Amino acid sequence: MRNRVRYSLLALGLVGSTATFADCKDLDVKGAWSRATAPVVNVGAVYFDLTNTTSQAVTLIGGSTPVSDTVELHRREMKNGMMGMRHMHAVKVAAGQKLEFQPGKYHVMLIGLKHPLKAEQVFPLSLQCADGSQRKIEVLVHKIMQ
Amino acid sequence: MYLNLRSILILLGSILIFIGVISKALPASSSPTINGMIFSEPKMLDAFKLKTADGQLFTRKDLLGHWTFIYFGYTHCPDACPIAMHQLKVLEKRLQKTAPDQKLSFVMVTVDPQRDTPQIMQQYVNHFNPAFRGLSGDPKEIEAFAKQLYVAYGRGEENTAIGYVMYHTDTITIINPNGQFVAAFSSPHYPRNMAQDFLKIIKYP
Ligand SMILES: [Cu+2]
Repeated sequence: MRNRVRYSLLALGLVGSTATFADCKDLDVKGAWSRATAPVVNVGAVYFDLTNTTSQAVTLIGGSTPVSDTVELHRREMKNGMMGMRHMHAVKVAAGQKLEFQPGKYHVMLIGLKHPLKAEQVFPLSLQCADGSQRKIEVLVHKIMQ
Repeated sequence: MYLNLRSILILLGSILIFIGVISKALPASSSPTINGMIFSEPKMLDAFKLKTADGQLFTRKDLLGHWTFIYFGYTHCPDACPIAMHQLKVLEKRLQKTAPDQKLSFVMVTVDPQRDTPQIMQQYVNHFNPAFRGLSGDPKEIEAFAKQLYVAYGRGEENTAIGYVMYHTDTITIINPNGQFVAAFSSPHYPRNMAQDFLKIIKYP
């Protein structure tokens, strides 16, 4: 009898923890945009504000989109006064943390653009988390290149 | 009496030397403040040769008779380069109104000649303003030219699908109509600020 109760509680606990387990699809992503690209360019960048409104940390590892061959997470980096960027293979976002994907901070790098990005175009982008879950977003292409 | 006169002369001399030193050391007292650096004496440039999309050489002669704004970047650049080129485009429009008498020229030089041919560079700048010029060339020539303009760059990590990342100084160089290096804008390159700073630059020294 006692054992049974304990088992039930364990089971409940297990169910409880599964329910609060963070899923990438629950991430709050706002204002995703990219900029129009010159025909000769084969890379693009996507920006947005991302907040992990779940109660657990998530780890972003990349993504996919029909507009480019590859999607990588990059972070702007300064080295000896020079500007560059680094490929981030995993970006951990703590519960409640906000991560700014914007010029000078993080960006989603689109590599191997299949067509130039045109102003007003909207394209889908799927952000991938380490646990296999995804967050699908829509990206609006801006003409203004700021 | 003689001694007194001598001490006075020495004192006067010292004062004159002191003033001389001060005025030499502080020609900047009259130099304007800009977001970047401005030289009290324009800097002559050594000969260089870059390449244009139509197969011509771009040399010191191409800097004569107009102001030239030069940006060093590359086409695999995610934001710094498109932002800088966009801001130069806006600056050009602004200066047409605020400095209509000045002839202006805008140039982008690649720091990645391995991937960016002169043709690719010209197509890249055409996206912003077809009057802009996109240049590439021999890696050693580009490096020597950049060095003269205090622009540094280098190859970064290769662990990315881009192949490799370039690191580069994010400045805009200003050359006067005599082909001399006179100033450089630091980032952020806000067109309004650059336009105001340019008006200071053309009046100085
Ligand atoms: Cu990047």
